[in-house]
Amino acid sequence: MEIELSSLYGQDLYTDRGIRVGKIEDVTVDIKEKRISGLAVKNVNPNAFSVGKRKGVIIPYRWVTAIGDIVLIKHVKRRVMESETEEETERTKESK
Amino acid sequence: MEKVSVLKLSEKRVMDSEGVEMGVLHNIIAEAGTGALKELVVKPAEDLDTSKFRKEDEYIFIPFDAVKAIKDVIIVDSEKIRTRA
Repeated sequence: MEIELSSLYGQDLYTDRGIRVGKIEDVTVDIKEKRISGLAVKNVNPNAFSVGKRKGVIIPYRWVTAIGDIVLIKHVKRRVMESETEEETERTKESK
Repeated sequence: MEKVSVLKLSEKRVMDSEGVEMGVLHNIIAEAGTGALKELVVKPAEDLDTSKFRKEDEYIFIPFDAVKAIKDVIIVDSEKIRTRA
C-alpha cells in the first residue's frame, strides 16, 4: 500500500496490544536510504513511554506493524526514552 | 544529516540538475510496509512542461530515485526524469 506522508500527521499511534502511544506530529526520512526513518510522536501516553520533560519521542519506523486508519507499532515495555534514542534502541535490538 | 523532517521539506523548491525550477514540494509517497520512499508530489511551476510527468489534479509525480540532493532546495536528476517519460 502506498501512503502520502502528510496523511500520517495527526494520526494516533497504538501498540499492537492496544496501548495508545501518542499522536504523530512529523515524519523523518533518511535521504540516503530513501526510506522513512521515524515517526515523531507528541502527546505521549506516559503509560507507554516515559518522556520526562521532553515534548515527544521519535519512534523508529521499523517498529511499525500496520498503517491504516490508525498506526500500530510493536508492543514495547514501558521504558525511558530520550527524544532521539533511535541509535541506542537499534543497538539493544541487535544485541538480542 | 541525512535524516530530514518531512514537515520542514514541504513547500521546498524543487529544481532539476540543469537549474530549471520545477515547482514546490507538496507531499511524498512511500510504501507503507517497507517505508521506502517512492515519489515526490510537486506543485509544478507555471512555465514547466508537465507533459512528461504522471499527473493527478494539479500535481506532478517525480520518482524518488531521481532525487540527487535535499538541502535548501531539492535537486532532481534531469536525465532520470527525462528517460522515464
